[in-house]
Amino acid sequence: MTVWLFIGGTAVLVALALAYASRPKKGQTGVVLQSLSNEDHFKVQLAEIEADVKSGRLGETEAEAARAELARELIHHRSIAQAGLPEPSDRWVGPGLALASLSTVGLAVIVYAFIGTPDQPAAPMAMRVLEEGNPISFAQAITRVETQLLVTPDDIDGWQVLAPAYMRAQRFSDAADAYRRILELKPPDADTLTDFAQALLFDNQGVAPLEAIEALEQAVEMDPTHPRPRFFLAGDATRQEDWDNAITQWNELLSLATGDEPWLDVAKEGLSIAMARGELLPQKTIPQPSVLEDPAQAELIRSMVAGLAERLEQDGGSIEEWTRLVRSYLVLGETENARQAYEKALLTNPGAEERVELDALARDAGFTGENE
Amino acid sequence: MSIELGHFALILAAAIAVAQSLVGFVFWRIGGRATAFVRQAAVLQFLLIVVSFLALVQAFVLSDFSVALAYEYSHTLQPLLYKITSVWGNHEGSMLLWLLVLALFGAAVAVFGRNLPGDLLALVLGVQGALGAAFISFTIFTSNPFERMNPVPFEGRDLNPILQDIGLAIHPPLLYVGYVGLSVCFSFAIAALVSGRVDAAWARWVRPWALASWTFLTLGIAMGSYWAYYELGWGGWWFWDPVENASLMPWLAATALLHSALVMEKRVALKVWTIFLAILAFSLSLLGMFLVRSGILTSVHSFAADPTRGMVILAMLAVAIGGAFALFALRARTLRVGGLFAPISREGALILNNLFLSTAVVAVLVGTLYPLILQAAGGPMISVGAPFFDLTFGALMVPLLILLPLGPFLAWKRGDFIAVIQRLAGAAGLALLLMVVTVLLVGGQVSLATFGLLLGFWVAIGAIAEIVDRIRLGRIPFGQSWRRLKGLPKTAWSTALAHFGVGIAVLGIVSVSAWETEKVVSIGVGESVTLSGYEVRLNDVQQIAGSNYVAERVVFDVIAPDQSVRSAFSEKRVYTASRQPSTEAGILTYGLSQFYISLGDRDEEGNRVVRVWYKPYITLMWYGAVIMAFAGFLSLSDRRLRVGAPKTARQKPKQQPEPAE
Amino acid sequence: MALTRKQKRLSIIAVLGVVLALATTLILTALRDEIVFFFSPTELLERSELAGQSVRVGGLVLEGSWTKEGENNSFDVSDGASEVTVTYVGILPDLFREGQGVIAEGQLIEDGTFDASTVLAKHDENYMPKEVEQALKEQGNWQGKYE
Repeated sequence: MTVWLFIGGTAVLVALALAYASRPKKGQTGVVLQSLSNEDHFKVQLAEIEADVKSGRLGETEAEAARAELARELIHHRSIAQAGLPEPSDRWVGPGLALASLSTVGLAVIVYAFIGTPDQPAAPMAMRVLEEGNPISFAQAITRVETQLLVTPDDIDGWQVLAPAYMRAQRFSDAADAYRRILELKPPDADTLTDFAQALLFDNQGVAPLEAIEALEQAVEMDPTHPRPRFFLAGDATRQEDWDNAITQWNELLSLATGDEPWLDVAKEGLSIAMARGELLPQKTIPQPSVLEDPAQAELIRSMVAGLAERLEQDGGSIEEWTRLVRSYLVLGETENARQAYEKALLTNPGAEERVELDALARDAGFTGENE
Repeated sequence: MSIELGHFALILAAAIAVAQSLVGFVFWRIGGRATAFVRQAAVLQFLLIVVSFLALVQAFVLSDFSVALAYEYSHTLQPLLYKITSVWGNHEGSMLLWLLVLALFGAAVAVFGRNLPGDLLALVLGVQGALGAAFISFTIFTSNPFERMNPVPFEGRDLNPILQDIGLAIHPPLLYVGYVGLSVCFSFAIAALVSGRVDAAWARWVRPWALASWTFLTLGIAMGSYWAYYELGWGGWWFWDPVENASLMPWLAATALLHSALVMEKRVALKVWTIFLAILAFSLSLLGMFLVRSGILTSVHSFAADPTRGMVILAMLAVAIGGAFALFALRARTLRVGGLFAPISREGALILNNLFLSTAVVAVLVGTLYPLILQAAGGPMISVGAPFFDLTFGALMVPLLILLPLGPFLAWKRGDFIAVIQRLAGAAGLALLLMVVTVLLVGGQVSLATFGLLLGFWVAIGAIAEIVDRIRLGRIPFGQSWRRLKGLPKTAWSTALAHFGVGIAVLGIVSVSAWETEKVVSIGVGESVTLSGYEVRLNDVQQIAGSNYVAERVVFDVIAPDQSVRSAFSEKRVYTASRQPSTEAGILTYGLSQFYISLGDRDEEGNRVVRVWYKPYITLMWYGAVIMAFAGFLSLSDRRLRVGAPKTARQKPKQQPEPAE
Repeated sequence: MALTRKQKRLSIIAVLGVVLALATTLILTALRDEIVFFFSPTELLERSELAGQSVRVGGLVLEGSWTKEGENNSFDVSDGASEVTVTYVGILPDLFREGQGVIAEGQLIEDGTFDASTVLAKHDENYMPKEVEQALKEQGNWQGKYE
C-alpha cells in the first residue's frame, strides 16, 4: 500500500509542478521561466556581436557583415509578422495545458497499474541472507575457500570443506576434482572413494565412468560392510542391464541392512527389477545370485569356479569357457580374479572377432580401459 | 519499493514526454505559457528519469535479484564499482542510461535556453519530447529494466568478464553524451525548418551543443579504442568493426557540423547544408543504435540479439530520419541564401573540409552496410574489413590533412592563397626537417609511412604556426607579441589545439602502423624472448584470487635497452559465477611507446605461448584525442556565457575593459 | 580574381563534382577488390581456384581435432558435410573450444589446408557467429542447439 502512497504523491507533485509552470502570468513574475520575445532576441544578438568584437573573436568587417545580416533578418521577420499571418489564438492554451497536466499523470498511473508489480517487495542481498540465516552467502564461502586453497593447495581440511560444498552447489566436476585432490593427499578410505565416485557419476549425468566404478570397487574392498559404494555399484549394474551383477550387488547391499535405512526401499525395488528382467535371459550357466545367500551353496560355487579356472589355466579352453569364468568371478565380486582371468583369456585367444562377448563383458567391468 | 517507484517514474517520464511534444507542436506559436509548460516538462522528465535510474542502480548495488536485470547481469561478489557499471553493461540498462542523457540534454536546453525566442524553444523541446516519448516507450514496452523475478534467485549470473573493467564505467557514458547531444542539434534543425527561423543566431545556439557532443564523442571513441586495445588482448586499437564505425560516422558528421556552423555563424552562408548536417549527425547516431541493438550484426560490442527490438528501432529510425529529411526537402528551398564568398577563402576551405568529411562518412557507411544489404538481397556472405576502410578512408583523409593547416590562415570572404603559402613555408620546412630526422633515427627508408609522418608533423606544426602568426612573433617586438599571446581569445587557442591534436594522433597512428614489431613464442619459466631490443623473461607463475574470479598470473620481467628492469603482469582469469575465462594483457609504457604482452595457453611441458608487441609512439594517438577534447572544453568554457542569460552578455563590456583576461 | 557571382559558384561546384567523382570511383574499386568472402568448408573445397585469395571460413571446431605445439595450432572446421584443416600461429581466443563455432580468416594453400591469419570465436557463452549459423543451416546441421 505504501507503494501506492508514494506513487500517488509523485503523481500529484508532478501535476502541480506542470500546472504551476503554465499558470497565466501577470507582469514579470517567474523570471526563471520567462522567455524572450522576438525583438528582444535581436537585441541580445546585437549585444553578442559587440561583445565578440570587444574580445577579439570577430573582426570589424565581419562584425559589420553580421550586423547587416541581423538587420535583414529583423526586417524579414517583421514583414512576415505584418504579412497577415493571423496572430495565433491563445483561447485553447489554458484548457489545453490543464488537460495535458492531468492526462499525463492519469495515463502514467493507468499504464503502471497494468504493467507494474506494486505488491512485490524488494529483496536485496542483505535481506535474503538474513532469511536464510547465513552470515555470508554460500557462493561467497566457496570463493573464500577456493582462494585460500590457491595459496595452500596441500591443505587437506580445506579440500574436505570445499568438496561437499561444490556438491551442494551442483558443481560436480569441481567436486570430483576436489575429492581427487583429497585422495592424493591422504590414504584413501571407503567414504572418500564413494564421495569421489558419486561426484563423477553426477557430473556424467548418472552414468558411472570407469574411474568411478574403480573407486567404488576399491571402497568395497576396503570396507565390505559399507553400504554406499555397494548401492552405487548395484545401481550402475542395473542401469547397464547387467542383471546378474545387479542381483548380486543388491543382495549384498540388502544383507547389510538393519531395517531402517533410507535406501532400503530403493534396494528392494532394484533387486526385484533385476531379478524379473534377469530371469528372461538364458544365462543358466551362471549360478543364480540368490544362491549366494546360502553360505554352503556359495562355497560350492566357489570351488566349481576354482576348478574351471585351474582347468583352463592348465589346458586352455574355448573362448566361451573363458567368458564364463570371467563372468563367474564378476558375479562373485572377485574383480581382481576376473581381471586376471580376462588377461589370460586375451593371451590364449588373440582373435578379436571371436571375443565379442568377452570383450563386452570386460568393457562393462572396466578392464579394457587400462589395456588400451 | 524504490524499484516500483523507479518503474513508475519511468512511465510518468514517458507520459510527460508525450505531453511535452504535443504541447510544443500545437502551441509553439503562442510561446509564453506553452513554452513555460514544455520547459517545466523537460525538467520534470529529467528528474523522473534520475529517480528511475537511481532505483535501478540501488537494485544492482544491493544485489536485489527480484529485479530480473540485476539477476542476469550482476553478482554479489562483484566489487562495488562493477555492480554499478553492470547497470549499463546490458541492453535494458544501457537504454535507461541513454534516456537519462537524453533527458539531461532536454533539461539543459530548457534551463540554458532562457534567451531563446519562446516559439523556437517550444519547438526544440517539442522535438526533444517526441524523441523522449518514442525511446522511453520503446524501453518500457520492449526492454523494461524493471522486470521482476519471483521467486527471487539466490545468486546472480554475473556480467560478461570482458565488461568487468573500469572501461565500462567511462566509455559508454562518454559516448552516450556524445551521441545524444547531437539530438539537440537535430531538434534545433527541425525547429528551424518548421519556424523558418534560420539565421546566424541559430548557428550560435547550435554550436555549443555540437561542440559538447563532439568533445564527448572524441573522448568516448578514444577511450573505447584504448579499452579494446588492452582488454581484448589482440594488440589492435581499431578493428573497423561495424559498431566502431557506428561511433565514427556521427563523429565525422559532428566534426563537419562544427565547421559548417562556424561558416553559418560568421558568414550566414551554408545554411541549408548546416541544417542537413545537423539532421544527418543525429540520424547516424540512431543508425548506430540500430546496428548495436538489433542483433543484425555480431560484434564485440553488440548486445544479445532480439529481432522484435530491431524492427521497432528500425521503424522509429524510419519515422525520425524519414520525417526529418522530408521536412528538410519541403522547407529547405524557402531558406534564404546568405553571404557570398570567393572559392579561395576561409569559407571555401571549410567547404572542402565538409566535403572530405562527409565523403568519408559515405565511405564508412557503405563499407558497414554493404555486407548487410548484400546478404539481405540474397547475395554471398562477405565481410568488409580493414583493407577497404584503410584504402578509402585513408585516401580521403590525406587531402583533408594536407589542406587542414591552410584553412585558419585564409581570410573570410576572399583569401590570398599565395600569401598563405608564404606564411606557412616555415612550418612546411620544419615538418620536412622533422620527418627526415625521424626517418634517419629509425633507419627506415622512404615509404608510405614517411609521407604519413610528414603529414602528421605538417598538421601539428601548422597549428602552432597559426598561433605564432597571430601574435606576429618575430615580426614585432617580443613584448608586444607576448601581450598579443595573452590577449588571444580562447577560440583561437581551441582551434589551434584541436588541429594540433589531430597532427599528434596522426603521428601515433602512422608510427605504430609502420614500425610496430611482434613475436609469438612458446617459453617456460626462466626463459626469455627478445624483441626490438627489449628482453622479456617469464619470471614466475602465481595463483591469485580476485573478489569474483581466480587467476593465474604470469610475471614477466622486461629489460629495456637501457638495462632498466620492470615487471609486467598478464593474467588468465576464470570468473567464479559464470565460469567464463578472460585474459588480461600486460602493458608497460616507455615514454610514448608501449610494450604489450598477451598470454596464451599452457602446453604439456608447462610452457606458455606468449605474444609480444613493441608499439612505438602508440600513446600519441590517444594523447592526440585527449588534446582535441581539451580544445573542445576550452572552447565550451568560452561559450558558456553565450548560452547563458542575456544579462551576462550585456554586462560583458563592463567586465572586459581590456581583452587581457 | 574578378569572378562573377555565377563563376564563383560554378568553380566551387566543379571542385565538388571532381572530388565526389574521384571518391565514388575509389569506393567502388575498393568494394570490388578489398572485400572478403565467407565460405563454409564444403564451398571452400569445391572452389580450389580460391587458393591464395584472402577468404573467411566458418563452422564448428571438430571434437578431438585441435592439436597444438607451442604457438602452432591446428584444428578442423566442419559444417557437418565436410571439413577443412586450419592452421594458426598465435594465441587463440579465450572462448575457442572444440565443438564450438569459429571463423578463420586467411588463405587456402596448395595442400588443401587453410592458413589462418585471424581466428574469431564467440565472445560469450550465448554467441554464435552469424555466418557460421547460416553455413550450418545450409548444411542441415542446425538443431537449434544454439538458439
